[in-house]
Amino acid sequence: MEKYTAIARSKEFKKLKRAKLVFIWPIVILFLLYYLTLPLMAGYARPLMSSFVTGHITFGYLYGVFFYLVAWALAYLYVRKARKFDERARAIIDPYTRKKGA
Amino acid sequence: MDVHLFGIFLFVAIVGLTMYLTYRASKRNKSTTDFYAAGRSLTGWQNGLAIAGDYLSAASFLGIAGLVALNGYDGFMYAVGWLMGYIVVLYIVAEPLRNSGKYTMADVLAYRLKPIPVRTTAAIVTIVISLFYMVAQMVGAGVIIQLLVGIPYEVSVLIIGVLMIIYVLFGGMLATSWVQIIKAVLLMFATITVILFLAFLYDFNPSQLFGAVAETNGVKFLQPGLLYNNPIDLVSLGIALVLGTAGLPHILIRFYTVPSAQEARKSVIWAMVLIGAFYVMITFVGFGAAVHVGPEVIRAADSGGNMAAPLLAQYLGGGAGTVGGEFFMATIAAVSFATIVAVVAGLVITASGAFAHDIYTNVIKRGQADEKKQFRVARNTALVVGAASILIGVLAKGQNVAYLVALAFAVAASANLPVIIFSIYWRRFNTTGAVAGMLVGLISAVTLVMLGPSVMQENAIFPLANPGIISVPLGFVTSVLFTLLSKPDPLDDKYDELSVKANTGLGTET
Repeated sequence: MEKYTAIARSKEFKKLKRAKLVFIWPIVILFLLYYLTLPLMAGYARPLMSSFVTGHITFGYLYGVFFYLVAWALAYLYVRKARKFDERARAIIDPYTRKKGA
Repeated sequence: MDVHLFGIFLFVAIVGLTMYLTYRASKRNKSTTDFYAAGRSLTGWQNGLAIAGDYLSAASFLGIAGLVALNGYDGFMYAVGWLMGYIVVLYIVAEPLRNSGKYTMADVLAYRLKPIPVRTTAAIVTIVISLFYMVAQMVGAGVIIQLLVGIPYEVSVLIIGVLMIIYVLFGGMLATSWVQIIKAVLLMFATITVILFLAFLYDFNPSQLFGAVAETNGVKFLQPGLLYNNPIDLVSLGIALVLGTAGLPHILIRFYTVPSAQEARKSVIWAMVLIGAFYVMITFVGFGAAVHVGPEVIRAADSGGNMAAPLLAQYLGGGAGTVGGEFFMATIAAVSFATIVAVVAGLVITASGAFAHDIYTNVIKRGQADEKKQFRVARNTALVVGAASILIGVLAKGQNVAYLVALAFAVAASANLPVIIFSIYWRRFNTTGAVAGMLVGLISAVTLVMLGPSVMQENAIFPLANPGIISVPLGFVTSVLFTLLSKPDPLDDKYDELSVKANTGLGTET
């Protein structure tokens, strides 16, 4: 299992891991806090949430539906970013996988 | 055509199709990898549909439509949280889990921690979550099928139980996945049909529908406050939903059915599209029911609101007593039935894996059981779990168990998610921290619900119905504190191995 230790200690792997952490965690934590604004607004900002924006559509409804759009947008962002991480990961393990096949 | 006959025809068609797929799958159900993980043969989109089929329970379809129909905006707001947890699944859990595990959630923890204690604890948590979920499904199923088809509660539970046992026992994860895929397609199709009928009535303009809601039920229906008056309780529920999805064992094991982390990623995307679209649509179904059926009629049919969607479908088809109306209603009943069997079958596999793979194979036999024996034990366990579920379902008749689904999410968020995250991302994390975190997360979530208004009604000692706001931080803090207060595990290079595997997919189970 030395190959795992060797990879784990390599500079490229450490950089990849760090890049992933820096990308993943701020987004997830901010998103969680953002989501909790929905119940808080519904509880403490009722006049705003009850106000009509267009026709019979309330601000509260638009605020709620916007979460779906944000979630889908973040999913799209993740897929784009993950493809780049995939490439870097493949480059790191390439020497080890080729040896195995030979 | 006799309307009743049509309902029976649909029911037989669904059972027939799923039985045929189970028969096909049974020929490929020869090993533990087939049984637990469908031979890792599913593609991303297939698994995405199966995740949606696993996740969207009758409680979502009938329950949330009812919640919106009876409570307007608050029901809609409740529905929003159900998609948001998938961001955590996608960003943090799905790919590392797929890369480093084999069959169960505990595989990931046992990789770098001391296997015996973490597997035992994780298996207990998995079984408890699956049990809560199962009881809620079984009791709901009994009631709903009784309402929709008119057969007695006990018979409904028995039929569903026997079907789920057949799918799992003979077809394993492959058959279960296909039952879930079919269910997801039927559910989306039925929901889209209802929405289209509704859309024609309102010229495809949501504002018109909302106007009709305000006219028939008062403007209060479009505003927050009809159902929830304690924002802290809602925040607490929100925490459990958003963090619990990524800790639900029956969702996590679905990622082992695909061959790679890339396919696991694709499956979350597919699931997010379907689940999100479903929850956006279900709000309109609920609003439509509020206008065209009315809260009084819905409440009279079922006080929990479960009949809102079926009654709306009946109205859109032409009304009670008309061929179209009964045809629509029968379709919704058949879809609800498919929904229930798909979810419970997934739960049976999950609980069986926790017992057979984690406890039997890896704790009792210390990983020394041969493949044939493991496969046999897995199937026997599924039979026992299935039979026990039927029994519990019958015994729990008449109990108010709706809170058990939210409790399952709270346990998943408090006991599972912290240790999954720390196992993958924190080198110093150790066995003591994991075991303590899981136990404290589990016990605090369950105890707070037992002391809360869901169980003790007006005598509640704990004021909130949802324990998440206390139990989730408790799970995280306990894991950290017990880790820091105890010695590191002497398995440091195992963390390197896990980390490389999780991040690159090198040497992953295929």
